[in-house]
Amino acid sequence: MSSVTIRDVTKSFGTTQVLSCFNEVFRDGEFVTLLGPSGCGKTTMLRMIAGFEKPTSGEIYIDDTLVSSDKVFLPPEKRGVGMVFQSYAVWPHMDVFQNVAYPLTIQKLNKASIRERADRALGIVHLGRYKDRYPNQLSGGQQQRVALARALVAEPKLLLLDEPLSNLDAKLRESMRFEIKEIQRKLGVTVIYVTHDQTEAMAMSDRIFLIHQGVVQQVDEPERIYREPVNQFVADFLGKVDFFKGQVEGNAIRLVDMDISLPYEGPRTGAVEVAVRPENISISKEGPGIKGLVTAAYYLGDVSDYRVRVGNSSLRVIADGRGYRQFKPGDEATLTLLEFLVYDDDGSLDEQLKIQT
Amino acid sequence: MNTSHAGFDQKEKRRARAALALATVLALLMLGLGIHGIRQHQASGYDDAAGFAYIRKAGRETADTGEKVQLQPFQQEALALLLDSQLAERWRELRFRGETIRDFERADSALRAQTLQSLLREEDSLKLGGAASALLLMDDQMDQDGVPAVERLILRVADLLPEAQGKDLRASLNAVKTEQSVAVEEMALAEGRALLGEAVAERRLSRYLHGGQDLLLLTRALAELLMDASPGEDWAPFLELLRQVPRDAAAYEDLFALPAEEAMSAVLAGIDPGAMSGARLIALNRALYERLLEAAPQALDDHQAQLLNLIADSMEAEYAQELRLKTDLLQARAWNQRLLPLLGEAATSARTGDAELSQVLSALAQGQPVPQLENDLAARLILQRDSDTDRRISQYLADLPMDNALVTKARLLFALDAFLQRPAPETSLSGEEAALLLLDLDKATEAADQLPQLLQALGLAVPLQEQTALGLRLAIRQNAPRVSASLAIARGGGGFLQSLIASQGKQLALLGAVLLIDVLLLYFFMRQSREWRLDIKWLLVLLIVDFLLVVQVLPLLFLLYRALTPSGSLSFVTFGRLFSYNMNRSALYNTIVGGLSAMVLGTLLAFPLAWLVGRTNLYGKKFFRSLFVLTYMVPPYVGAMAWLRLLNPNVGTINQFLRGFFGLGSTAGPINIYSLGGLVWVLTTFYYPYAFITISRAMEKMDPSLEEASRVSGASPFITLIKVTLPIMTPSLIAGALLVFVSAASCYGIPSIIGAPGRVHTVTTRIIEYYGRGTQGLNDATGLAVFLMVMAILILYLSDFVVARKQYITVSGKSTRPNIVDLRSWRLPLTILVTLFALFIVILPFFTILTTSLKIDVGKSVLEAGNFTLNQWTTIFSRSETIDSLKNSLIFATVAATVGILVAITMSYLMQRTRIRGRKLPDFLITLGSGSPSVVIALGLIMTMQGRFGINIYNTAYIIIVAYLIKYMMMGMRTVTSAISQIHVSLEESSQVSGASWLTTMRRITGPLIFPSIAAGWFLIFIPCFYELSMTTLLYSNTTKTIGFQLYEYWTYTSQPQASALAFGILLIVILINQLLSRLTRGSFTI
Repeated sequence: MSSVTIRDVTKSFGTTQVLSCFNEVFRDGEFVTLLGPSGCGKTTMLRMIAGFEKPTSGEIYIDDTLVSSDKVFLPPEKRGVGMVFQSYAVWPHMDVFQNVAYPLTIQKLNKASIRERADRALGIVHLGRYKDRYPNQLSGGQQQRVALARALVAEPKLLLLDEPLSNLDAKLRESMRFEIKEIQRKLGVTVIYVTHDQTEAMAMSDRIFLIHQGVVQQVDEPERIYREPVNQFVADFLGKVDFFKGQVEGNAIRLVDMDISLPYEGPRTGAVEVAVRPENISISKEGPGIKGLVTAAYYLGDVSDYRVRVGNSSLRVIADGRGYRQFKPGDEATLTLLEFLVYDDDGSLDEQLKIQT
Repeated sequence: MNTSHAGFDQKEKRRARAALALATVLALLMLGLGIHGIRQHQASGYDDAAGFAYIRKAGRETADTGEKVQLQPFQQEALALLLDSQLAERWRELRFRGETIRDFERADSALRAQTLQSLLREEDSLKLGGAASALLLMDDQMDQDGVPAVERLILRVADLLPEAQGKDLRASLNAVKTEQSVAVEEMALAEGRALLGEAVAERRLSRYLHGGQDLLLLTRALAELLMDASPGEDWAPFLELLRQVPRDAAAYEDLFALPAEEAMSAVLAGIDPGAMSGARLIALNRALYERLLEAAPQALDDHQAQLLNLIADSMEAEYAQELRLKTDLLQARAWNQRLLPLLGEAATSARTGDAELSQVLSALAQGQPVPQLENDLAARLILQRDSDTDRRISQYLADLPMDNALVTKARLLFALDAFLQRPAPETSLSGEEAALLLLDLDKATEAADQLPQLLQALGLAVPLQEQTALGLRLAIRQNAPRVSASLAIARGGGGFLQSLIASQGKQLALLGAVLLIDVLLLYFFMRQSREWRLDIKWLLVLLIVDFLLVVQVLPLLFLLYRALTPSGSLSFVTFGRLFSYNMNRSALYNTIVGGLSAMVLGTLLAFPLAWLVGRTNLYGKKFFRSLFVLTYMVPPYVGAMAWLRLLNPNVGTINQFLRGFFGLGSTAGPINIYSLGGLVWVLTTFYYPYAFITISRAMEKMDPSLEEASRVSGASPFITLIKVTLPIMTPSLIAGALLVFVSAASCYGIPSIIGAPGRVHTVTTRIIEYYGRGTQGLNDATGLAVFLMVMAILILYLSDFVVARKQYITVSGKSTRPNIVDLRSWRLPLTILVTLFALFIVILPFFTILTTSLKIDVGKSVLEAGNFTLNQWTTIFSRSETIDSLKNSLIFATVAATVGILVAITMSYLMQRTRIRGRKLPDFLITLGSGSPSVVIALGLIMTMQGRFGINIYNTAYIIIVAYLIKYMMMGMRTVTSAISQIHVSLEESSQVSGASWLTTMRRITGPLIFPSIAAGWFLIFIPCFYELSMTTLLYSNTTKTIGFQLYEYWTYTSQPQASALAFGILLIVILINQLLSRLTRGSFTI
């Protein structure tokens, strides 16, 4: 079980820089997720660790071994990592057993050991029954498990997963998530997981590395990165959030479009952006609070999703599904902000991406 | 389902069924009328449409016009008699022009003899009288069984005599034979000397089997004779000649070192017949023979028969037969001379009851000519023939439709007059004058010469117009067709519709048959899809299917038919005979072995190259990729020419270099391109790109993560290649390999240039050789073609429908770049290796062509003083022939490419975007076309498109374009199909949902998206059509020569440097076009 150290790694393809100055350590036995939107460079980072790309500059260590630098490059087959690909990459001309046993046959172990270990790996992913089948006879989920077994069979120190679940349907994705996490816990192997799905990241990771346009935005445990996002991008990427322009006036922030003041004791001054998560707004019929008009109400089973107009702005509110019938479009409602975040108004354009309702 | 809906369905179904039934009836009607018309056409006696057109025109012209003068019955009788006799006379004149009794009487003796001969041979010999057949036999010297003529005649007399006398005669015959046998031998021997000398001196190698290798037996026999007859002979000059016989003289050095006579025997005994020069051997034989003639003529005489046999055995069947026939004739002549006295005796003493025969025989026996007898005989034969003919004519005239006998006979007269070129009458008669003439039968008979005017005056018929008469005469030249032609004229031209049916009978029948097939297909479509209405798309499918049926399936079926029924019934005799010939067996061997070798070598070359260029970090990958694909665009025969210049055993550049480098003393070799190995080499270098491209494409489409997964599992790049890449690529490998095999086996250009001098035949070269040899040759060509075709189809089926099915679909959704294997320390060495390969295989040949085109003297280097010139270029490109050929090639290729791509677009669209039944059918046909060997396609077209089925495009540009289409349409299909398949249908659907019509969607959405592949497909069809050779060789006419064919002609007949200039020019054009293509499609398609 190993750690991975990335030191000052950058990667450019031609004139396009895809990763800038990546400087992190993935600890031994951790489940780390590289999270970010498409094109942010997370897959590239993973492939550099695997050895399929070379960093433009910087160094990569697995444990204490230098595997990539401008002078040294260890090819993938010598790195002792396991990898699961997005397309599964299960070989169509071999059956399940042969696929899984392949890494062992490369190592030229004896037949008995191979059989034993491959069976064990198949057992871990619960595919023992299918070992004589060919990939074209398996479902997507089953193929994915074959890929997983194959990645684990050689007992690698490091397991890399490149968006392994994105080709599966929602239910399967959920169950596979837990399976992968279980396996990792049982075997204690270090996992670097790449995905753009934040729910996946939060459910499985010990730490999340959020990457945007080649730059790491924040590295934290799921709860912290969710509740204390360091910038607007992180706040927006994980969970739902609304942004409002505000002005610091003394001990309060006045929300410009809504003519509301929020108590504030932080260090920022001048123009700020206030971020509010919909679940942190409570909605009630009466009482003290911000008065608003319900413009839309959606029922989602476990929650109700409301849009409430306050002043010139619209707030999104998520409340318990059981109270859905209380608020219909056109009703008046009272909102209370339980929590909010404050950022410098850096003129970022993220807000414009949100559909105005 | 509510009832009204069902009712509507029912109504639709009924309507559709009714329409189909109607169409079926129409089709059958057309078919029937067509067949009727064909019969009428055949009755005219002339197969050519032009001739038949004139016949019908003539028929229409002689329709009666003008007022009919009323004739009394007796006048009609008189006229009828007159007509009949005149017709008979004209008939005789027509049929036996120059050989009528009048002609015979006027002829001189030589002409008379000639006439007699032709009369004798014309008649069935059984019908000839004894005297006549005797004369014939004497002329031949011997009968079919080789029995000398006189002997045969004596036996015949013996048969005619009473038994006892006959027996005596036969006994005398045997006695004389025994007595005279020695003398006859001597006589025959004496004449045989000349024959032997002639035979030994025969220089034409083509008459001998195996290039004259069998003559080695003769050489040995002659040498032995000389050794026995002349012990102290000086063998040195013969050894000198012998030294030049083996191809590799060096191997026999130690034998040549022996004392002369021993050396002679040893070398002759030990020489390898397969590596000899036939021409030199013949020279040696002549020398030996001449020496024998001087030193020991007796020995020659003693062994004359044996020697002649040896020579005959070493000749091709027909020449051997000729020789044996001559030998037998010598014998027969000798016998005839010796037996004549006996014949004379037999003839005079015997009373055979056939006085004439006896007379002739006595005369012959005495060696006297019998002119009077011959004249009488001839006259008798002529009269006999005339009476036979008269009988037939009467029968013929009696068969004419009698309702208007006079009119018909009148027309007949005019038709015959036209054939006889009788000048049109200058005077004319009035109706009254005509009637007057007929009052008196005697007067009428005297006025026979005025018969045409008479008939015209009576309004019974009009003479043919001069133009028509001329056209008729020119179109119909033979006697026999004139007979039936005149009958057709006499029956009249018929109305317009009738004329149309008769003259367009074949076309009608063809249309009817095609329509019938269409109706059947439509019914099948409708039934399968349960849509009982006419879908426009079906019509498109049918249109294309019809076209392909007529130009592709029909010729192939006809070839099959021709090959399997050479004499009317199903038999494999043709194949049996073809493969009993050594040349054909060796051609088959060469084709298959050559194809397989090229396949294996080509694939072995292509796979690593494709991997290196597609999957590794080799230096200059893009460059190499274009370079290897470049060979694919070059005409194969250009490659053959280049390698000839390099590997010619005597003056080839590489050979010269090797000889110098290794200090070899010989003047030839070490590498001989005129061999099966040479053929395989050139085939490989020119067809490996087919495998390269197939494999590269498949490699590109392969999901790179499959290889990455192997790497990450611990396997080195090499192991990954073996365990993962190769197995997954195997179906594509096989497909590519089979493609190489079929292309190599069907190739004509390369074997014709490389194989011919070394007598390395292939099935394709044999087909073309046979083709030039008349009807029998055509049958043979067909047989071989069918064989080749079946082989190609089987392999095609194997490749496309069996292997392709097993292809692992591994196209990944994401467009990830393929993982590049780092070659590390191997990078430079492998790049150097690949560069060397490229230099040798690709660049060297092209360079050679270039340098050859700049030389004056082909044998010297271009760098030698005074050998450099640009003249070759200016000469060849200023020739009008070249410009014309270039124009032709451009036009043909453009038309073929344009039509082809339109069909491709239609078909691809129908296949990908619709679910209509039967869309696979045209695709299958188009695939079939591309897999058929070029020679087979051309041959099929030749045999069916000369009017046999109503279409005659032979010797026109159309037949060439059609051939190109059939062969190369496929190239466009593949590109366009793959492009359309990559455009998701939702792109078009969203356009339609936005309100755009189907057409607008095509124009604004689909069109622009697939334009690059349309352009690519167009060029992919254009380029091979541009430089095509095999089909053009068979289909060209003087005005439709293409650049490929011209090049071949220049190379073979004119001058290699000029041909090289042209070849390089073609190369430049093709490269230019490829650059254009790459520019146009922004690099996404370069083949």
